[in-house]
Amino acid sequence: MVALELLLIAAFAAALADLLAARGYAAVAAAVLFLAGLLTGAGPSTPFLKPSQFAVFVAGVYLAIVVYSHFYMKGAERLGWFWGWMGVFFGSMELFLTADHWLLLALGWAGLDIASWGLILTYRDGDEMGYVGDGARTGGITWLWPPSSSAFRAIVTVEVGTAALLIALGSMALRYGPFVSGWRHAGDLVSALFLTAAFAKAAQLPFTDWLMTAMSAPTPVSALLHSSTMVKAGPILLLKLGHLLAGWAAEVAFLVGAATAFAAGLMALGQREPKLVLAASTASYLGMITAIALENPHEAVLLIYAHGFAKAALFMAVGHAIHVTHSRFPEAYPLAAKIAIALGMLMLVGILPTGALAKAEAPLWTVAVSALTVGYLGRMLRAPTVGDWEPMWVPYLVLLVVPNFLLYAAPPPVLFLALAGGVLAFLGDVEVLKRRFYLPVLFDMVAPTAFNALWRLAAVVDKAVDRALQASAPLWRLVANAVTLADWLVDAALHDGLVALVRRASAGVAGLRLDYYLYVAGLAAAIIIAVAIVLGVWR
Amino acid sequence: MIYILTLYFAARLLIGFSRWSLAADAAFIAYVGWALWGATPLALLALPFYLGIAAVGGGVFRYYAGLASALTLSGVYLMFQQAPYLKAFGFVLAILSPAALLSTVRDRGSLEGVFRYLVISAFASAFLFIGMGQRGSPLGEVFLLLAVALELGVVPMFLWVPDVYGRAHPAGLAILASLPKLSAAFALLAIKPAPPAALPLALGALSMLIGNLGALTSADLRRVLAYSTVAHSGFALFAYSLSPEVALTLVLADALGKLGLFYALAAGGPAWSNRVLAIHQIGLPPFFGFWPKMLLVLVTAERLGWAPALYVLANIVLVAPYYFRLMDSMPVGRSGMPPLVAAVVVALGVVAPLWFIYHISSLL
Repeated sequence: MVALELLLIAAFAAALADLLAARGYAAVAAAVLFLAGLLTGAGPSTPFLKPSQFAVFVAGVYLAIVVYSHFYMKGAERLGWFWGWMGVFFGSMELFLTADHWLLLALGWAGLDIASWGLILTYRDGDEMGYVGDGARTGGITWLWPPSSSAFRAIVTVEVGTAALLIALGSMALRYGPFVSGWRHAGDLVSALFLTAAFAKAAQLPFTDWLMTAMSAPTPVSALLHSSTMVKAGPILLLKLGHLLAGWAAEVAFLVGAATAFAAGLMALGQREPKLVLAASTASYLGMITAIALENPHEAVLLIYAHGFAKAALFMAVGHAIHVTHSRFPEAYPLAAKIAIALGMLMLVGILPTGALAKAEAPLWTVAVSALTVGYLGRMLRAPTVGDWEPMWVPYLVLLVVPNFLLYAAPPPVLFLALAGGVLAFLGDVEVLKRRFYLPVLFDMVAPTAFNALWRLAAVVDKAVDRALQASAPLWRLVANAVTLADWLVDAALHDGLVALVRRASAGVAGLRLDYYLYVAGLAAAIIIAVAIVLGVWR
Repeated sequence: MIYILTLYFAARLLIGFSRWSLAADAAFIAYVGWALWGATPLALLALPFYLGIAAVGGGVFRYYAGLASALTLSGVYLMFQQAPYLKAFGFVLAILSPAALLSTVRDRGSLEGVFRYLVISAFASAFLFIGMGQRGSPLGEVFLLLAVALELGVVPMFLWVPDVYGRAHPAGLAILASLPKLSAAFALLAIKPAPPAALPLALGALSMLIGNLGALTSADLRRVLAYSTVAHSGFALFAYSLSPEVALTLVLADALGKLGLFYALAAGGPAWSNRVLAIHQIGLPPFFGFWPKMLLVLVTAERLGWAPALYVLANIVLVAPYYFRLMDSMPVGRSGMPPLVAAVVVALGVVAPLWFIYHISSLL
């Protein structure tokens, strides 16, 4: 039995080793070590960590994707950068999952952000594989994003959530102490901040679009971070802290999540880049999980597992096609990939045993989301088949088949209704769906313009203040002169006027001859006292 | 004790009067001070008596000051004994011993002053004997208070103070204006006259005003200091019915100041010590004079309300103009006594202030 702390240290050490060696073997070793350690009952040995049910899941998915990456990234540039950030991501994700101290939680969360940023930057800006979008010019923006702008969009959007999380965690720690397990009811503001953090990380409306352009990253990254694990940090945060949040949080999470589930599902129907289809699908399923997370945590956990396995495998399958055809818009898919897409679709919809278990308690509206899923994945299945038997297919088929023997249930018949969504696979291009409801315009035109306008406004105000200060110089001089004059007057009064006055008054008083009157007063007092005494004696 | 006193007196006459014989007086003062107050902080009360050894700066009685000071302290000791006749004897001893040295310069004014002071002291002693004879009756207590009041120079019996101080030579006044006044204040604590409370309040209030008016309108520095004594005695008598320890401390501060200032008037002192003593007399911090006056105002405000406290404060402020005037017209010289007194006043003001006064209340 190993301490969880040692496993975490080994994960980060593996990241450093991979950064320097640029080989990726340390990542495999770290994943195997972590998985073996957890399966043999590794637990925390300090109060800073708590065991997490997702730790094994993340380590397993990571192992499968790391093996796949060895095929996919063959011959790529900057492998040290890629493997280093992969290792940082793995360590951060496990740290986030197991942290009980708020600072470690924030550290893990921030590590996810920066690893996502680094991995999106794996391809250089000139590399066609790193672009996202078709290059059209609609709605005032060009629909083509190189890795640098994708990474910038991702980090800026996600940091909105991170800032909110830091404020919320800090205020909770001030109130209840540093350990998350000791926290109790959170206020309205703090609840809102936690929700914001979860929504930004999980690409919920209106933060959806960073996940679309995050597809600039290599496919294994999309499979790992941007579908099955990193973006799940949002719902997992809600699962961790759900019992602390205010009563209204569940309703807000449901509304935002359900809206995202349908909107992103429709977006996926319109996309022509298979990775973007899967990205939109991911946002859609994250919406479903977010909507359920606070009302039915158990159900949400199962959905996280099922969606994680299925979506990681789907990404790897699509990546197989991209790898074979060397195009972001593959015309044909290898047979293994097609099988995987079909199986993945069935798992998402809930017909394969693992998916059936996940959907067992799901509300009925999720069937509509499943119908959309059948629509956009069916469009991929309609593509021609190409023969390619490079063993890339092993990890993703393993990921789709093995869970069915661990988590299973019989599918409820109502789920078969979702297969009717197959007709959507024959839908033509719909411009508004293809343009993702023009949401990117908000991030690429409206937000920068507003930011520039704000900046200009600040400059204008600053200039006006400067002008006013310069113009007011004579006024300040006048005030200074007035103060000088008043000071001189006071000085003159104190040094000359007052002293002379006191001296004159003193001399005048000293000139009086009061002696005589004081004698008289004394005698009078003596007489009065004598009379009083005599009267006292007489009486 | 009475035998030791007699022995000392006889031995002292045999030793004769020279510069070095003063050491014997100092030793005797130390012995009496120890007998009175032991090793407590109250031993500081003997300070004016040590200073008194050298208080006569010139003239034929120069080396008699030690004997006078020792006899005065002996008188204080006797006043604190139980037997009434010892109290009365102590009072007479304490107020008369320094007075004999007034005519040290042997000018006409000093001789006239001695004579007048003897007459006044005879009256004071007579009042005291009458009062001691009728202890317990209101009239007896009033006479006891009047005896002390006459010695302190409080209204209405203040007339003699400017009269004597105004014509005598300041060389003899240095000891006359300090030790007998202090002895009278000790008499307040030792005999504890209990007249109707309104009497000391009324006499004190009247006295501080009249003393200040007189000092403000006098030109002769001796008369300024004389009227200032009247005012300060008024403060002390006013304080007596509220807090007797503050009364003693007021007189102690005034006695120290008068000792230094009269000495400087006769022999001249450094300008800085003149200023320190004048400021001490006004009652500005950090000098010793500040503390009892502050307590006087606070105690008055607490016991009698803000209006009497304001009246007392106004009279304390009225002290300032004539002492500022006096400060600049004091003769400047190189004698050592005023700096010594100034140093004592500074040291007491910095080190001693409130716990010392607190200890004095243990005498009650």
